[in-house]
Amino acid sequence: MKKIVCRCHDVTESDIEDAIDSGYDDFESLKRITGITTGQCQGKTCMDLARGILERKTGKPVTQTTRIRSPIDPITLGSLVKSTAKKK
Amino acid sequence: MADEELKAVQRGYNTREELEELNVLPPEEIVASKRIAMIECTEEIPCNPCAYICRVDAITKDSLSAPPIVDWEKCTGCTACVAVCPGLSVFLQQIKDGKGYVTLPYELLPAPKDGDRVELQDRSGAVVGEGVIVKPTYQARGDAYPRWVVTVEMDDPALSYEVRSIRILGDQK
Amino acid sequence: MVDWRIYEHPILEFDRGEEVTIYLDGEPMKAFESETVAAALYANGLREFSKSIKYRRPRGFFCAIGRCSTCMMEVDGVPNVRTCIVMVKAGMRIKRQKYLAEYLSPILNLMKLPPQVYMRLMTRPGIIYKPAMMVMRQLTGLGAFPKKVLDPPPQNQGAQGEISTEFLIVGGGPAGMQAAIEAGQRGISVVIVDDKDRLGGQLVKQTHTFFSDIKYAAGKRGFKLGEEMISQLDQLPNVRVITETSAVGYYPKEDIMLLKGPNNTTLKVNAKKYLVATGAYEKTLVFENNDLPGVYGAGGVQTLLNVFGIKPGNRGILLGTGNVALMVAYHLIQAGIEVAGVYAPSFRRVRGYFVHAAKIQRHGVPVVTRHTIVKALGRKEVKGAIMTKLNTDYSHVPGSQFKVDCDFICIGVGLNPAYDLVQLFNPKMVRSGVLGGFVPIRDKTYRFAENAYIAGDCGSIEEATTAVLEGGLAGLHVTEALDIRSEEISEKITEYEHALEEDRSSPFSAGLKTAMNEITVDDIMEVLT
Ligand SMILES: Cc1cc2nc3c(=O)[nH]c(=O)nc-3n(C[C@H](O)[C@H](O)[C@H](O)COP(=O)(O)OP(=O)(O)OC[C@H]3O[C@@H](n4cnc5c(N)ncnc54)[C@H](O)[C@@H]3O)c2cc1C
Ligand code: SF4
Ligand code: SF4
Ligand code: FES
Repeated sequence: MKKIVCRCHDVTESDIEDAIDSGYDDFESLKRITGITTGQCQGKTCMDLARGILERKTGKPVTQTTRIRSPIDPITLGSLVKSTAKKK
Repeated sequence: MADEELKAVQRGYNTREELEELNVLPPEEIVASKRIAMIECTEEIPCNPCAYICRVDAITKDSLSAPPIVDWEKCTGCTACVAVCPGLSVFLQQIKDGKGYVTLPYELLPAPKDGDRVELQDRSGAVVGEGVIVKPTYQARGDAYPRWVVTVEMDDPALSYEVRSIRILGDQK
Repeated sequence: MVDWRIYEHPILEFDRGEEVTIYLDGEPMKAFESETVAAALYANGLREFSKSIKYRRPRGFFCAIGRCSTCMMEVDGVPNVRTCIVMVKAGMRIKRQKYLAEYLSPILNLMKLPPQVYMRLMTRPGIIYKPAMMVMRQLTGLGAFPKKVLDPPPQNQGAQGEISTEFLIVGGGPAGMQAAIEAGQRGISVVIVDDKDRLGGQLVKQTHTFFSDIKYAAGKRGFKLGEEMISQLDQLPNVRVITETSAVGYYPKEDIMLLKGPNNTTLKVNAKKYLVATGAYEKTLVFENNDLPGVYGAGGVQTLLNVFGIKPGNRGILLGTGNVALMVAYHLIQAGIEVAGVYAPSFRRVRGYFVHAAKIQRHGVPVVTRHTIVKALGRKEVKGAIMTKLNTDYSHVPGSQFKVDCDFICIGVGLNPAYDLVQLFNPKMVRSGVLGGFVPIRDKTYRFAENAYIAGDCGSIEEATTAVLEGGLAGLHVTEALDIRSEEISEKITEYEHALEEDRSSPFSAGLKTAMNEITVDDIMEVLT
């Protein structure tokens, strides 16, 4: 029986709790070690859940958003190249 | 599961006693004299179609969020407010010739027909008896998609204080 | 043959368009033109769309609006297509992505590899990267690379290239549409983009009549309101509508918004002013088996039910007592689907409007506060749920667990503002519980960055009616910022502000109003620098 937090990478609640226990207790490092928010959905389901677990475990509110970069949705590199090429 | 008393806001529906205390239910002599609207919309929510639609200004809302108040003298029982209320919280009631009548909004299948037998449900959904549909009307008020306004007749007039929903059983015959 | 479509509904008529045949792993299936691939497959009884990457757990669709990415399949040779936002075409071939790892999964599980390994292992040396990735992708079911690079087929070309406009609106929900109407009617050249096949946002699935002031939206059904707004937009030649296209990036240096259209087409838009009206994402919950097919978001269920006319199941439960959960329960009842109960941990009260709770209970559906779900039962799909009563500290009451028979579980526990795009403008973000999550500081004209404005759910979780008003206001302020001013515009602004004030006058909005005041400043540029 699993409690899934990140559907893209199959990260469970206990994976996240373990990571927090081993010292990854801020959102950025939690993200790097577990891979949450880096799947195809870019954190649209897991971000909020993981933040909740982090807050519960550490007792500290998370007040910063994680950095978001363009593109926010997977896009093929080919199509980017194509549109840049056209620019000239 | 209810091992302690739940308040109305925790339960999500009112009991008749609570509504009486809030002065929402019309007095018996009026119910016995004509078909009359009662509005079980007791919370402050930003909404006003009921007050807008009533042609005799029987419904007042002090502000957009104030709960509506019905002037039972003015109400003609026209059912317009039943058809328009997005909260489905307006009902009409009447006691006549020893029978009870409740008019309610209906947005389910099967479509109601004159003479259909129905199970009568109270505010909690419990089945409290059986009744018969009289002259259902399909009304469009301010919207292209209308809803049914159904009046049900019940033998026990006291039930008209409780019945708020129906389940259609089908033709009487 | 199984068919989960609803053919008789008390309020809706489903115009499904022409019947076509699509193929799932070679099997022919009945579909209709107006359906998405996911909807068509669901109507044919398919619940497992793919297997998850690590534990090989069955995954079905969840959000139905192209957010969660669990519905990915191979469509006509292209892997990882979000089937819930792609429309069916006659003869379409859909494949469940094959996973050799099916057989290897016990071993992979034993190895307890952290998930990144699947993604990042063997990225060096470059020479073995591609073959290695091929193998890894096969193993994990992420889909093989397409055999050859697929050029976008000539038909159904999305908008391509580069354009400039005065006002670019991202998100075609009520907020975005109203902004387009107000600015468009005053002569501004507007481009409005939305990632769905039609405008309307959340409105398209709302079949109930709305609250609020009758002058604006009250008494209308949500999707009708949406249709009216669309026809108003149709009257405006200076408003260009681009659908099936999502904004995927904003590059401040170049001042360019990057849009992605069908078939990997891209469009770069430079605008004088931008409006972000991207709405919200649904929140979800952590419980055992929460990823099982049959556990859906409330929006997903509404989409299936009200847009496509497909039953999510025969008997379901809802989690959450906010307006969304209560509304979905009512929509299910209307579609003739049994609702076993609406459960939520709330103690103080049913969170949504009382009248919504009352209208479902009188149909015999209990609204049960102080309860939560422990786990979903079933191996391949939901077969039931274990519920528990809660103590006031939210711990489970021992011995209070009980089983509810159901074949779907619908989560309606609230929304998070969709702030990804907002953040690319480098705003000042704050977190607010009342407003739903992270939202940008803005000024009274809804401006949150030098040239960017915000309206609707992505700025604060509220309602369709407030989204319309905020959108209208943002549209008018942008018009003024583009140096079109008049008495009439100022009057309209005052009128909208007054209406918004009224809409927020109930005790439900007390906290919200305070929070809004806290994040609204006089001079936004001061905050940003
Ligand atoms: C289930 C449910 C029931 C509701 N019931 C009611 C009700 O009874 N009464 C009421 O008043 N309100 C109700 N609401 C709330 C109301 O629908 C929303 O508040 C309102 O739709 C918000 O409008 P919006 O324009 O901000 O966003 P949305 O309607 O969410 O529209 C945003 C649009 O932007 C698109 N988009 C997002 N990101 C991108 C991108 N990057 N590129 C391109 N397009 C993008 C989305 O696909 C969507 O079409 C309900 C909401 C839900 C979910
Ligand atoms: S029934 Fe008619 S007259 Fe009476 S309150 Fe309703 S709308 Fe007014
Ligand atoms: S229309 Fe219905 S929900 Fe709205 S205020 Fe009147 S009674 Fe209440
Ligand atoms: S992305 Fe398709 S179901 Fe969520």
